[in-house]
Amino acid sequence: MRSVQNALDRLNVDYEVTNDPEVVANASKVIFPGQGAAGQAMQAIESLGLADVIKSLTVPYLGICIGMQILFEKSEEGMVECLGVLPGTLKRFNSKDLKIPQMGWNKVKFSGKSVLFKNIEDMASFYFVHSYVADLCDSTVGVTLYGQPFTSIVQKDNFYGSQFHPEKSGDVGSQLLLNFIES
Amino acid sequence: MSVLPAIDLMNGQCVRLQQGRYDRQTIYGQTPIQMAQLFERMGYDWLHVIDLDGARAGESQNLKTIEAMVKQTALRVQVGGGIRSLETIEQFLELGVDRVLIGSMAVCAPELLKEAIERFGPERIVVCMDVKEGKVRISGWEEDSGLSPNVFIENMLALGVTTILCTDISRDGMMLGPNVSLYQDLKIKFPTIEWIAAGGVGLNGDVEALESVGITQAVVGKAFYEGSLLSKRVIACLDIKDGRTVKGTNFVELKDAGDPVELAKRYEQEGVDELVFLDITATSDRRELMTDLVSRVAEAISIPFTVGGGIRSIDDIKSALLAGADKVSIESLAVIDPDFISEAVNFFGSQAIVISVSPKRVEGADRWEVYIKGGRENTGIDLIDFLKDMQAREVGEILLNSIDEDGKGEGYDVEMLRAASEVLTIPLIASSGAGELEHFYDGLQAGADAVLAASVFHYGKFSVGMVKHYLQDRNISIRITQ
Repeated sequence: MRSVQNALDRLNVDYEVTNDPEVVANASKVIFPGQGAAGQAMQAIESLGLADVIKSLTVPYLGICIGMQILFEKSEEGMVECLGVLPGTLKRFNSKDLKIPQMGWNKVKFSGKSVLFKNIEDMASFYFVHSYVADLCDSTVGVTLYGQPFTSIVQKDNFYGSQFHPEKSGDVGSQLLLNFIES
Repeated sequence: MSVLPAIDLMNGQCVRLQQGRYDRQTIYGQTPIQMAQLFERMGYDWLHVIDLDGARAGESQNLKTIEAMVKQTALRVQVGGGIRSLETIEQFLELGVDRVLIGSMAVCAPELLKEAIERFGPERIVVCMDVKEGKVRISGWEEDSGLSPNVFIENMLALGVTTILCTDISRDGMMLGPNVSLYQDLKIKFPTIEWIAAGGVGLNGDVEALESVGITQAVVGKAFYEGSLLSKRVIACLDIKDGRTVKGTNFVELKDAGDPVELAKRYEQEGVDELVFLDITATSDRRELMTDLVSRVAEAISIPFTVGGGIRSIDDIKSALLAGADKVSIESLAVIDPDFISEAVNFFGSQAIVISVSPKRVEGADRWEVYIKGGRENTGIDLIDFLKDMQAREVGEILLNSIDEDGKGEGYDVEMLRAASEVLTIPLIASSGAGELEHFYDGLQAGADAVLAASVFHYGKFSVGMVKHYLQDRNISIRITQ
């Protein structure tokens, strides 16, 4: 949360931190920098009356980490129903050989076109911290490998999501945020 | 260079077999067509399709699926799996498949292969040659053919074969990278053959390595479906007292080398993957000083950082995280009050909680005991038991110091790292003892996911960049920044 604010400050972006549905509904762009678990995030969204507001957004939405995960139908983390903007269920990494959570810098292979990729090289590294992943789907525009290929960047209409933390990913991360701001 | 991503088909689905066993398979949620379209969007031109039903039963169950992949993408497609007759070859080629892969037929029925080449053209026929311990094995052919690669290839040349897909079985699925020298030899000895490399090829520099020896086509299979491109991390640690770095430094160009923010920015520019701030302030205004520092660091850098030292309560953690730290590291308190750790994990999530542990070897034994209070007090707790307990409490990662090696510059305690990594399924950071470049490598080889150092960076013995290039040259997956 604080990190995203700092990153936006470094980019000289005007923003407001809010959980007010009306403010969100009238924003020109929305960033959802989720942290913690999908279950808690969905609970908060429901109780604040944000679910329908987010689903019916027509302005660009960027979900970071949990903010991306809640765009899918369900998460096995807490067996929770999510927003269903995208098809699929978040599942825990299924590997005996790899450390969970995935923590650190991994590469993103572009698998589509996106305004988010402007001035970013294919296979650039971003910072990941997570235990649950989204399978590949038709809206996957970035693929990352960690025991399995998974969706690291997703884009459907005005909805964007990154499984990694652009606000913690050095210069490439700042560039991605800037690309979203300028989209 | 053409990279050919692989798709294994069974009953019209994308699958992966474990150790080649049909009863142990992973079925992917993506349909073969969706997978093919994804590969197309990733920028690949070719697809390598193995028809497992064909390989098993000698008859394809997947003709419709293959046809759809050919028709619904612009990808060029090669298909293999139990192709043993001219009719099957013709059937695939008529579907729009570009090349068919020939296995056992090359040994069992060379005259048929010759006829196929004459009828359909040499560019449509790829012979698969598996190499194991210097001998050719033929896919779908259990026995060792007894042929050396040279003899086999000469035979193939005589039949008119122009393209050979060579798999090094010892590398297949091992994620060790391809056997580049094998392909180099083949390319030198048989330059007229179009070689396709397979077995162990990943997306991380392997393709470039093959290209450098003149190989222009490579199949990527397991590395995509089961591999990882996660980098090993290089972490710099800064000791802080009263909001200032403790040691002097050799960073002469810095205006104020005692300012942690200046140093943090400098390390970020050098490409460090993470930073750890270890606070040794003992005064009562400790928390305010730390919170202020964390805020200023968080404003200045855009990489993750951990704050440790003096975390005594949920409120301490909260103020560090709210100020912009990504994680806190907890040492003595984790030993004294392990239930506090469970509470912290529950409150802030695993990813925010790092356990720092300072063990010392029990003299004359291969075991270590956990010390607290800056190494002054032996708790008598066995390191491995402690790590298992912390892991069960779902902490995010372990930062493993060593009282024996700290400050010596003689290398990490690799035996301890090995013992720890054997029981850990969460990330492990090696700390204490890095003094030479090879120490970082040794720490990672011993099972660490990240290597931490303080004084070698602080006093400028190495830059972070030097460590990273050293590791990258030794085939460690590392993030290199411009």
